[in-house]
Amino acid sequence: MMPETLLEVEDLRIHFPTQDGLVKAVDGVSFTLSRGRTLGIVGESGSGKSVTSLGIMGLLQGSHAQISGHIRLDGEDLVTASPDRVRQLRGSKMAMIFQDSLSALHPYYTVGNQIIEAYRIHNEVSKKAARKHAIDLLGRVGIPQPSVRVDDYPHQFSGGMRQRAMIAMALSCDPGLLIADEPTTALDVTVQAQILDLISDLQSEFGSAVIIITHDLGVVAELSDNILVMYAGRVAEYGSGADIFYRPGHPYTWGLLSSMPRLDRARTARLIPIAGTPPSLIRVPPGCPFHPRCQYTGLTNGRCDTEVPPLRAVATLEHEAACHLTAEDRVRLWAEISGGEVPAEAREIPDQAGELLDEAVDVPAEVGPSVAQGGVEA
Amino acid sequence: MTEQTQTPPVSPAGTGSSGDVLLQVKALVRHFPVTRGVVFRRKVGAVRAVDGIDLALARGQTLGLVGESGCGKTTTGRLLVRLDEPTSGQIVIDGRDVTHLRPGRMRPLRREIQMIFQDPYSSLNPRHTVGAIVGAPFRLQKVKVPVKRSVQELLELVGLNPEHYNRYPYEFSGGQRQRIGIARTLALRPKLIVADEPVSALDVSIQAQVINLLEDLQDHLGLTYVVIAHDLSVVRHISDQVAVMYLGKIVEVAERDLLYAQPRHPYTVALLSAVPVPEPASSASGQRQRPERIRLVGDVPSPLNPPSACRFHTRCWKAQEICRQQEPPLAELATGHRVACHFPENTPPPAEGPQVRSG
Repeated sequence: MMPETLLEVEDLRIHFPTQDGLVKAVDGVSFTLSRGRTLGIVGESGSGKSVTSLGIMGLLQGSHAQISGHIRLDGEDLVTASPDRVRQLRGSKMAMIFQDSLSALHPYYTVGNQIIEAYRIHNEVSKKAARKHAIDLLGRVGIPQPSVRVDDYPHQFSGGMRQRAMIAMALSCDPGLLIADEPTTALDVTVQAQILDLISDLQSEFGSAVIIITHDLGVVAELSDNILVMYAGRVAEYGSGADIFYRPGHPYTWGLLSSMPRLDRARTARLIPIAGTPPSLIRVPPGCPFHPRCQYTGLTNGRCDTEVPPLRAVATLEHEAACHLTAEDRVRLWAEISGGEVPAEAREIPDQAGELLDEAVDVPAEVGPSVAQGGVEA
Repeated sequence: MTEQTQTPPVSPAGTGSSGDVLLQVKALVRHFPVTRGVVFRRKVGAVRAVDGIDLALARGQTLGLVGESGCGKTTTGRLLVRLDEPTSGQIVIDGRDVTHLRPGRMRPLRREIQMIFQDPYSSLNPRHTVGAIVGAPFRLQKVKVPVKRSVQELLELVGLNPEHYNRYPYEFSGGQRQRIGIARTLALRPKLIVADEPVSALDVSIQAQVINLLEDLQDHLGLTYVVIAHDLSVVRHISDQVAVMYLGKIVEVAERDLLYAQPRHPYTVALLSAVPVPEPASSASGQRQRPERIRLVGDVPSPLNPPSACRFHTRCWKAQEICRQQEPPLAELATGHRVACHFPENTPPPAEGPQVRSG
C-alpha cells in the first residue's frame, strides 16, 4: 500500500548570482514525500537545507534566485506557477514554521489577529468565526486559557508558547504540507520535547506531510520516516531513519554521526571531528563536494576529485548515497567506525583507510609540542 | 581527557579548602533590581538570577553548568569572571577573595581568569585584525613580549595558520573565529577559563573540533574550566563535575558519570529524558534501553517571583506539601553527589529516606 505522493522535487537548482560569483545554494536535489509522512533534512549551515524549503514555499520568487527543476505539489508545478497561484497555495496547502518565533510573529498585532488574518485570507468567513477558529487552534496546540491568550501580543508569550502559536497559525487552513525549519533550535530541551510531541501528534491528527529541517540528528531521528542528508547544496545520502543511523553509506554521514557526543552511548575519550570546513558554495570543489574533507578518497583511484558521484542505491532501492566507494568498502569502513563486527573478507583489504584516518583525526596532536615550548611568558 | 591523577576531584559545594581548590564559591547571590519611576527610582522587586549557589572546583578540572535559559548559568559565569557585581556571597579564586575587588585591583587578576564567549561573530571586533585581537591582552596588561611572535604562537596553538595574523575576522568561518577567541583567552596564560556556550553557535562537525581543542589545551596547559552549556551531551563529554541549575539555584551536582547514570533530582531526570536520542524507533539492531520520556508541563517560572520552597515543585510530578513549605537543602546523598530534593529519584530502597529529610 503505497501512500499517495504529495510533494515531488526533481532536480531542483537554486542559484543566486552575486558580485563574487554564482552561489549554488541548491544544486540538483530530488526527493518525494507522501501524505502523512515525515522527511527530515539534515546538514550543516550552508548546505542548502533552508533554501530548499524557501524554494518549495515560493518565498524566493521576486528575489534574484535562479530556480530550475520541478517542485510538484499535488501534481502542480510550483516552479512555473504564477506568483499569485503560489500565494494562494501558500498557507492553504503548504505552510511553514520558522525557527525564530519572535521575529516571525509581528510584534504589533495580537497572536489571535495574526492567526485570524492567515485564516481569512484563504477562507471566506466572518471575523467572529475566524476568531473562534483561532481560539480553537490555540487550545489544540496546548496554549492554556486560549480564549484569554488569543488577545495577547507575541512578547507576552514564552518561547515555547510562541512556537505553539506559530504552529497554530501554520495549521489554520489544514495544509497538506508543513515545513518546519529548525522548529526547536531556539528552545530549551524540555520545551523542545513538548513541541516535537505536538508536531507528531498534530501530524497524525491532520495527516499532513511534514518536512523537518534541522541540524540536530536527535530531532530528526525522533520525528522522521525518511532522512535526506545534504552537503554543499547536494544530496549526500537519502534513506529511512534506520538506514541513516545504523547503515549509513556516505562518509559525510559517518562523520556527522561520530562527531557528536551522545548521551545514549558510553562516553568516548575523544570526539572524531570532520576535518576542515564546509566549502564555499561559489567554488564548490570539483568531483564529490565532500572530497577535500573525506578520508577515504584514496580508495577510488582519484575519481572523487574529478567525477561527481551520482546518487546510487546502497543496499535497498530506498537508500541512496552519492559516493564512489564500493559497497564492500562502505560496509567495512562503517563497521570499523561504528566499532561493529568487521566481516572476515573485508579485513584482508590493505588498511589504507585506517592510516588515513589516523592522520586526519590527530590534527590537534600537532598542537602538542608547540604548547610545550611556545612560551607566552611575560 | 583529564585523567590527571595529581588533582583528585574535590566535591563541589564542599567545605574542605584543600590547596587544590582553585575556585570556591559560597552562597553567591545576584539579584537584579526592578525599579519603577524615573526621578525617584523605587525598587519594586528583584530578578533573582542567581540565588545562593555554592561551588568548588579543583585545579585542572572541568565543571559543567547546565540548565535551561533563565536558570542563571550565564549570570553565574559573568560573576565568576567579575564582569558583574555579586549582590552577596563570596568568590575565592586561588586563595584570594575577589568578590568585591574594585576594577583597578581586579585588573592584575584578569590574567588568571578569562572567558570564552558564545558568539564568535559578535565577540571579535570586525575592524581589528586577528593580530590586534589576539594581541590585545598583552597591550592592555602591558606585558612586555614580542607581540607578533607570541600571537603567532597562540594562533598555532589553537590550530590556525600563523600567517593569518593580518586578516580580519570576516575572512574566517565560525569555527575558526571561535579559535581566534580561544587564542585571545589563552594569551595571558589564565588559570581559570569560564566558557559560556563555547560551541553552541557552531555546526556539529566543527563543534567536535573545538571541543577536542579545549580538551587538548586543558591537558597541555593544566587549565581549569567552567563550561556553561545547555547541551547535555556536550557537557557530559567535556566535564568532570556537572552542576544542574534551576531558577538561580543548584539542584544537583555530582561527578559526571554518576550524574548521567543516576540522576537524583527529578528536574535532572526530566532534563536528561528530554534529550532527543539519535536512534530511530524502527531500530533493527536490538532494543535500546531508554527511560521513558518525562513530559514536563509548562515553562520555567519567572525568576522575578520564583515558587516558594522547592522551586521545581510547580512542574514536578513528585511534589507534595512539604515541597511547597520547606526548601530542600543541597544534601550529600552519596559521596560527591549533592541533591536538593525531598523525594530524590534513583534512591536505593532502604535507608536513604530518613537521611534525606534530616539533611
